[in-house]
Amino acid sequence: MRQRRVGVVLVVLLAGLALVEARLVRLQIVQGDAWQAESVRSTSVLQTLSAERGWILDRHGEPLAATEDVRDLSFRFRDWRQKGGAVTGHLLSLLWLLDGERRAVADVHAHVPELLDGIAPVTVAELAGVQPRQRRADVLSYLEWLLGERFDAQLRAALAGPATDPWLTLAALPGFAEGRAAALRRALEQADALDDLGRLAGLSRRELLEALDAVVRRADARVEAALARDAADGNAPPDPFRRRRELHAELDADPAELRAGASHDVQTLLAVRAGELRGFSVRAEKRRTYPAEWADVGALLVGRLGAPRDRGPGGTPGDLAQADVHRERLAALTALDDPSDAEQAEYDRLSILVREVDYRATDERGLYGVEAALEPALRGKRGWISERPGAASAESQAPQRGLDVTLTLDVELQRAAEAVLERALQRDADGQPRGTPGAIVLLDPRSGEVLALASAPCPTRADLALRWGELLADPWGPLCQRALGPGDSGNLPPPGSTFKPLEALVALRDALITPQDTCACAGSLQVGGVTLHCLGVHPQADLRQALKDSCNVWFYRFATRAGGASVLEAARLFGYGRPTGLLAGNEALAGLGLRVEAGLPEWSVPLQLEPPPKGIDAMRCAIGQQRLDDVTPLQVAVALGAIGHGTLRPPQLVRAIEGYGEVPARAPVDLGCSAEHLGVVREALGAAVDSGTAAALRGLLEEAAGRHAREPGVPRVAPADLARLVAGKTGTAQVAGRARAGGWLAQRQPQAATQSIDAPLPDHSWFAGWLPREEPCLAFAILLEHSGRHGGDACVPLLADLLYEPALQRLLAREVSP
Amino acid sequence: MSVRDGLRGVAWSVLVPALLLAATGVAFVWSTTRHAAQPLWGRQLAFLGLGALGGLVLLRVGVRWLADASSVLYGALLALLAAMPWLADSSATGTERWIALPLGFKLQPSEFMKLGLVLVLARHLQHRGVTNTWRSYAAPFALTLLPWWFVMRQPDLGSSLVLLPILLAMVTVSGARGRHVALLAGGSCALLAAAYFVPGALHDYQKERIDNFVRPIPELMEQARELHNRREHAAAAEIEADIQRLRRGTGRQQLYSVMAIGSGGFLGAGLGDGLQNRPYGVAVRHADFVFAILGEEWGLLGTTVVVGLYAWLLAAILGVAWRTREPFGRMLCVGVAGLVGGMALMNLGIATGMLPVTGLPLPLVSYGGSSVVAISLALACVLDVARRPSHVFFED
Repeated sequence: MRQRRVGVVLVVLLAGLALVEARLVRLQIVQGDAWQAESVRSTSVLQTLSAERGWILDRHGEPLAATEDVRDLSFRFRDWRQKGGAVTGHLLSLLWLLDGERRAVADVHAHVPELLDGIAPVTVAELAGVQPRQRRADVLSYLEWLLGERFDAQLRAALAGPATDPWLTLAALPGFAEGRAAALRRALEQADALDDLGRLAGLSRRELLEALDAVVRRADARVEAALARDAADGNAPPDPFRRRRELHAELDADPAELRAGASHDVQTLLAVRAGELRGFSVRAEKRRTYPAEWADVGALLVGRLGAPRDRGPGGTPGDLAQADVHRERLAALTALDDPSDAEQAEYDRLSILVREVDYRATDERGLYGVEAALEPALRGKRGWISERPGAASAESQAPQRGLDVTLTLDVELQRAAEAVLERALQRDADGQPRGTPGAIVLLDPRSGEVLALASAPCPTRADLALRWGELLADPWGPLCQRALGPGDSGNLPPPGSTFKPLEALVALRDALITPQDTCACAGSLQVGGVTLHCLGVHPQADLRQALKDSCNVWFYRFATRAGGASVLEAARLFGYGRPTGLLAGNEALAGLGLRVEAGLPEWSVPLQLEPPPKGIDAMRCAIGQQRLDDVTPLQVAVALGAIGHGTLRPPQLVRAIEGYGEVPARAPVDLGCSAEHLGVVREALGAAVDSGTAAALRGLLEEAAGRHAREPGVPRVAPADLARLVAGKTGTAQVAGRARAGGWLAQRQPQAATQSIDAPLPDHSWFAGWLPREEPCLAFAILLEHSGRHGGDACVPLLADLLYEPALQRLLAREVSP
Repeated sequence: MSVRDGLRGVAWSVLVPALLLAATGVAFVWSTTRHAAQPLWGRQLAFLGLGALGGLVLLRVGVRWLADASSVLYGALLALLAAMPWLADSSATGTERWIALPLGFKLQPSEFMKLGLVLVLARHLQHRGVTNTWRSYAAPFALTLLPWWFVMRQPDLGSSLVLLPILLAMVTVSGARGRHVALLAGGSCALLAAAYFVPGALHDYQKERIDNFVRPIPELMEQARELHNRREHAAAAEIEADIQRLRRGTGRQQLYSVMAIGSGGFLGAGLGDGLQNRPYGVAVRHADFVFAILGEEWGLLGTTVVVGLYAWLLAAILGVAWRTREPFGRMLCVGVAGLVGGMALMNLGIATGMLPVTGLPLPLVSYGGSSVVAISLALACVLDVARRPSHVFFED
């Protein structure tokens, strides 16, 4: 019977082995491929190589944003404190493990002998009682690195031995004294090397130690943050010490920048004294720089870089969230055994995106301006190296440099325009403006290329980088691109009288009026119970005089004669009420296959064409108010340039993109007007400068010529001649409403912030036109927000100031034949 | 006795699989430690040599002597285990499993305790056996429980659990009723399950291992794959988030073991070429998880051969038990089969993800002096019994 029982035991054991065999077949054959892939995946190390960002250049090739090779002195906390590292580092971590207190690096550095003496009376029994056991193991490691192998062997023997006296101190162990002496010697050498490093890097000892301390504290903070995140997710680890240790091991290995721009000497020192300066290294990196000569010019236009966005435009997911989505989808596709063709194609596409394109937490991306708008082109593609232990060679792909972008901007003209606007701010001794904010747009009406987009006040490059929060809170709204969008009030200005030439031209084209149509202006018009005003009294004004002297009453009658629909048609034809498509919505860029993101605030307010305005409403539209009350200086410059040139050229900011070549011109808009009609309007606007609302120009040019120094080698155009070259229309736009609380206008006129929304605010001022009168090479639009004065008083002086800026004089010398 | 006489009567069916397993062990200790600071295959050979020497001495002395001395040996080993808190070198891991010997060697008494238990149970059960009364179970149970307690306390759950198959096997053969055996087996499992909920009974990391067993990562990964293939990606993503969390804990050990075995496929990667045969790959890959590397480097072919060798060895040992008329010898062989089979099944079960992780060597294959020597001595006992099938030691 017992024999049979033996059989039972055998059967049971063999059954167990059979179960194991069945499991092995399942693992190795059925699931074999999947495990193979998982195993390979778990051993592959992917190292990314960052790409150099494309440059941003002005039309003459001047670099506005470049990349340069930078060498930084960097510090790795983990290497510094671990085996072979600094005595200070060992002590810092040892003391933290023993009593949980993180001391200042400078303190530890200065008191190495005292601290070593402080460990001496620790007993073996105390050490044996350190919990958990991982912490005890770490303490022993640090003691070994500090005091040497001989001491370590003695200590371990004492810990293991049965007959150890519980009061045995570390100091009493053989090897302690010599270990301590050796540690002190090493500490001295390391301190000496550290002083050399500080000297070569331009840091005092205190600064260097404080910088190290900052890195240590940052590391601690990151670990605590990660633990807090775990706890918040409900993933409190079962062993907090082990988790903390894991986090430190992972996060402390990241290099931290100590000093930007490490010289060659620093590199040499690190090579020569590598043993004493473990943890310090020089890291070469490609960094975005803004060349000092042009750094502050158009800083807002060029934009800035920053960390990947938490939220995309229009509520789309942020950059990192998008990357996560791609990664998850890629993981899902990787798991498929039998992907369809569409899924395979998606997998191929996503692999490239995840590896080369998607943003990582340490990436920088354009956040504002051209940097943001042309981010896809400027960014380039990451390279990578994929290594597997045991594989013969590593697979790799070199990074793809970003594309250089050439703008149509002329940086000298931009600087000139910004200088003129800054002077118009009339800052007092405290730097507070007494003038008002404004914008200047300069473009070439022959091609639509934008030469300058200036706005004031505007931030410097340093402000953008360091004081973003202050800029956001500034009452003057320096982050507003007034050439393209609203000021700090959030509303676009109405075109005011600058609209008159546009509607006149369209009405002439459609034969709704003739140039000889006259009307008598008594300074105001009574319609119903409402009085509509004019700027002056104009008996018997025809079209020419109405434009020259900006007679409102003539245009009120015009509105009745031509009809509200014609007025709005003029606005529509010249591109008002629609986005200009400077960058976003630019069909020329889209046609190249280039993706443009949001970057510049290109505003437009849709124009309501139906039903056409009648009566008083039509009259108000005719003077560039009411429904027509949202335009940008860019739109006005384009419109006036169209009149000067004869066809409307949509504006262009990007001239060429590396690899794509020149950006093709955008389709011009045919105004459909005869040369005769154009001639009438042009002549009238020339007369405006000669003897009309802008007649002060000549005198102002003479003043400006006196103020600006003459440029050697550049022939100067005489003020009288220059005045004869300019044609343009002044404008005074009426605005009603309430000033933004906390904005500059509310600070200057407190009642403006609390008045009724129908109450008037100070008028905006315009002056827009072109030069030279025949075959214009430059179209301009100048706006001063809430100046409270007529366009002729406020903006014409700015043009005079601008024309005698050296950059403009050079332009005139080039383009205008004497 | 001349060499030829000695060779006559050698149970080759026991010796051959044992030698093959030992050779496999040396090969894999070489494979897993050849890049380490100290390649250990030489030491493993030395341990095997030591075990062979001990075996030869034992064969000379004879199992009869062991039978007489079984109580003394058991008592001595028990005393040694009880004294471990004072004798053990706990500096490295905080556990009290080894006694430090000169020259950096370590002695693990729990391995020898297993053989000691076999001997004392064999002596106790050889004639009396187990009957239907509960009282007859008391002694075997007590004899098992004492060392189990001391070993558990070290803590060394794995080794302590191996004592159970030894008890079960021997009790079965000695006449226990089927349902009593079932009750014993089931009761132990229930006790273990209960221990999970008693605070302080199990260490945190042990509880974590059982958690991971209940939700094993390999099974979760399979589930996620299936959901992906059914295009239910959202549900799969939830499971993958769970996996990420579990991976941080001790689930990693078993995951990498299963991954290594699975990636071996049919032929394996070749000796020494396993991807996971590296410091951050499979944990303890030269000892407890050597089967993982075996699976990766020799594939299904190799693992089946090894499983087959164990089957052969166990069948041979039990064959000796079957043929012999010596009751002590029979119980001894059954006990050794329980020991070797229990250890092998548990280790293989852990490595393939079928059992919760506990630390346990694979007999004759894992690196480890105490285990190798103890198993060699055990097999020597079996060989001795095989030599004298009709010899009866004790007239009782």
